[in-house]
Amino acid sequence: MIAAGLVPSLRRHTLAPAWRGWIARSAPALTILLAWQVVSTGLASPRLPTPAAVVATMGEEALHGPLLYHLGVTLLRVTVSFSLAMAVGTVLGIAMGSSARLNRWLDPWLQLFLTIPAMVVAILAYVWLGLTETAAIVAVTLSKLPNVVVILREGRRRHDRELADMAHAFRFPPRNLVFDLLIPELAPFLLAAARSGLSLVWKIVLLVELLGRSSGIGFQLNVYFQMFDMTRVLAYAASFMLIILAIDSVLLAWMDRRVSRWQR
Amino acid sequence: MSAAGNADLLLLDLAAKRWPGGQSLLGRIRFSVSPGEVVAISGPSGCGKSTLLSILAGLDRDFEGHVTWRGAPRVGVVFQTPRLLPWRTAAENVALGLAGHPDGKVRARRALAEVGLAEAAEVYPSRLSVGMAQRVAIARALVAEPGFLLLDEAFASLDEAAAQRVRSSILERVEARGMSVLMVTHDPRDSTAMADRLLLLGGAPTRLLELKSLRAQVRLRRQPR
Repeated sequence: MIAAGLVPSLRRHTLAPAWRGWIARSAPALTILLAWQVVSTGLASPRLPTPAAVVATMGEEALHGPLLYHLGVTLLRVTVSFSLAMAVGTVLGIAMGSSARLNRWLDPWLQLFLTIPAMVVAILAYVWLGLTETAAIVAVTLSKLPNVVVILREGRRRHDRELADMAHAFRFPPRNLVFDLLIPELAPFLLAAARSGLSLVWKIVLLVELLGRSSGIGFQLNVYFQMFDMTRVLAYAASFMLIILAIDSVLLAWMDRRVSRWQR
Repeated sequence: MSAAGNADLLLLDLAAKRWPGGQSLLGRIRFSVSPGEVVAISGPSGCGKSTLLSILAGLDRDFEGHVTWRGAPRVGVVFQTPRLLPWRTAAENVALGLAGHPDGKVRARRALAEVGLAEAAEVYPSRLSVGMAQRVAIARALVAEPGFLLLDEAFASLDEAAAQRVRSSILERVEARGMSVLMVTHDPRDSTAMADRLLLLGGAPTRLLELKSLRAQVRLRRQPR
């Protein structure tokens, strides 16, 4: 049994819940950084620069090099391709989930696009459309599109028939049907498609930049890979990973909280 | 069965309603409802009472026969289950019954107060009990001041005090505004407290077995108010 006088001293050593949460969330990343630092210091090889060297190079490239320009170009490509894939994929997914006939017609195409590797799509787009910006955007959009269609089709299929009947009985105008029923019902599926899409799209953008563009993080990675400059390869890759991580953990997490607030 | 006169607000002339396999669920059923009249429908479970209401609400069009409305009245519906949008608050759900009316929120709060849920206006349905959620659904049906109200076992999940309060709200509209009501119910308290007529369904396929006039009781009930 704990003596009464001991309890306050135990409390003094207990961390506030907010700090405990922050440490719990950061622990895996800090562990990876620590392991990286230990291994790279031990190896002392240019093949694996230390995290400190990579961070220093990131700062240097941002202030005096072309990092910010290439980040901007890649981010723009990600934004455009992601938006196009989400918009077209959402419409197609809802349509295929609503109509069995349309689904029968389009499902073979969907299966085909699901099995084509992103690199093949990129090569075909560059061959057929030329080494252009349009080809790059088309390649990334087509690679992501089937994934969005599958998720949204599933979401539409799971719609609540009773709520649809209620909306019909109360003669919801089209605006209410879309904003009060359709979108909120599909919100978890839209968010799942957005989250998986963001992580997929930026990787494909880097691939198409590496294959056929002369700007962007993918292009720069290829240049520094040929120069065997691992510090810059990691600095450019890590800088874009941080941006995607920030978008996911701030913007998408905020949207997630907002659309699921009624469940709490 | 009342004749299909010019004064009828609704005339149902159903020849048959079949299951997808072709087997008949509902046979010949013909009745009408006049303005300001409350008609109760009763019958054994599974005899097709809710299907009949779905036909009248326009949710089921796969039947043989005719539904004729006079003057296209605004129809309010209360289903067996609340069918609230879980991502909208109680007040927002009720306001949906008004479909974009500028005074939507004010009228929604007034309708919620009428069913005893003024304090639950900003609460999401997941936080409401089944009975409270059903009262929100009733407020949603009443908020637009419908000319015709369809009730499908609407009071089954309410406690007696809440049921009486809601019955009174509905009867006030019947007497003051001439609203008509068609209600499916298993509870004799609903039919004796509210209905002018009781339609008894039964048989296989289901048909209209009996029609009871409850007008005398209704007159007695309404007199003291």
